[in-house]
Amino acid sequence: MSDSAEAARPLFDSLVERHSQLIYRIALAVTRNPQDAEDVVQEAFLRLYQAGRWEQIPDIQAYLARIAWRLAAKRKKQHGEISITGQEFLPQLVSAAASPEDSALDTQLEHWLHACINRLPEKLRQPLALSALGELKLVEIAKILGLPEGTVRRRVHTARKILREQLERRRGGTL
Amino acid sequence: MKEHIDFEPDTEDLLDRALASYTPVSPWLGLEDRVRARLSVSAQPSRRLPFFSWVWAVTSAFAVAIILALLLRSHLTIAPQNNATNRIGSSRIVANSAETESVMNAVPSHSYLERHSRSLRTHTHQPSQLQLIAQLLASGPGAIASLATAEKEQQTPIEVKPLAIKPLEIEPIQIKPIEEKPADAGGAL
Repeated sequence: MSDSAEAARPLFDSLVERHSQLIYRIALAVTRNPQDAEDVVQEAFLRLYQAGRWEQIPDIQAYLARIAWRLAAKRKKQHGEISITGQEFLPQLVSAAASPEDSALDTQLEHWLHACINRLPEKLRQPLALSALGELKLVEIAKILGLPEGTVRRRVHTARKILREQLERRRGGTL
Repeated sequence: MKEHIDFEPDTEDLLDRALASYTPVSPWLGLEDRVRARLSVSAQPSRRLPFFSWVWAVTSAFAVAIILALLLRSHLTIAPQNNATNRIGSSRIVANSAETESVMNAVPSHSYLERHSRSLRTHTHQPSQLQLIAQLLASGPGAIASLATAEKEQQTPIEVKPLAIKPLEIEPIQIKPIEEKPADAGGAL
């Protein structure tokens, strides 16, 4: 590495502090595997660092998010089907106010919904998962995915509709 | 909004909650430290780049040299028959070199080259320009030099000078009277 790159290292470290959490969540939304997501985060920051002139990038978060999404999508393609259904995430989801019975039912339903999301086609699942992060606007998601904003909006809408229908069918069947 | 009415009110709520919990997990503790460590490690291999670039440069130069050598070899072996002809031609040159040097001023050198090239043509059945050049190179530097002087000679016009008139000096015949004393016949009695 050149001397200028070494001199800019503290600045880059602050960049890592600021954006690593979001980049991790984007990677996890795509890969659904914590280890893969962490590898993606490291790889994304490494690529940005090695590319040089990263100080001149206007929206570095969007740039990093795009790299992370690409890497995660590639990794996902290599690894194939999602093996983790999201069951290990569920203890955090149960609301404290709910009764144990309701909580158990909600947990079961959410677990089932996560499985439904994982089964969605990738072109629907990825926009939905990124929008579900709650930190990215539709414009930013469109930039990350390299799609028009209208397409992203339509895909999120379609994905939600499919999930709602599946949920309704399940609830109608069980109730 | 119509879709919201079609579904049960808590369906939408449940879906939102499920989506919010889809990727809620924070990374394992110390992610930033691990990223920084990875960056520090990755900075080291980049110092090896000059070595690899040297390796590439040397390898490519070696490859180019091999290709050039092969090309040169293929050019030299275009017509082995021509080489044999060259040998005949060069032997003639060696044989005639003494004579050529002795009469260099008197005999124009391009005539010799003409003769030489004519003999080559009879051997090689209309050789290409490249083959002629190869033959010329094989004949040695003397042939090239003589070709150059021949070109000069061709360029300079031949001056016709009148012959110097130098009348022959004929000594007049002197008539002497015959001596009466006969010559000694040598026959002593």
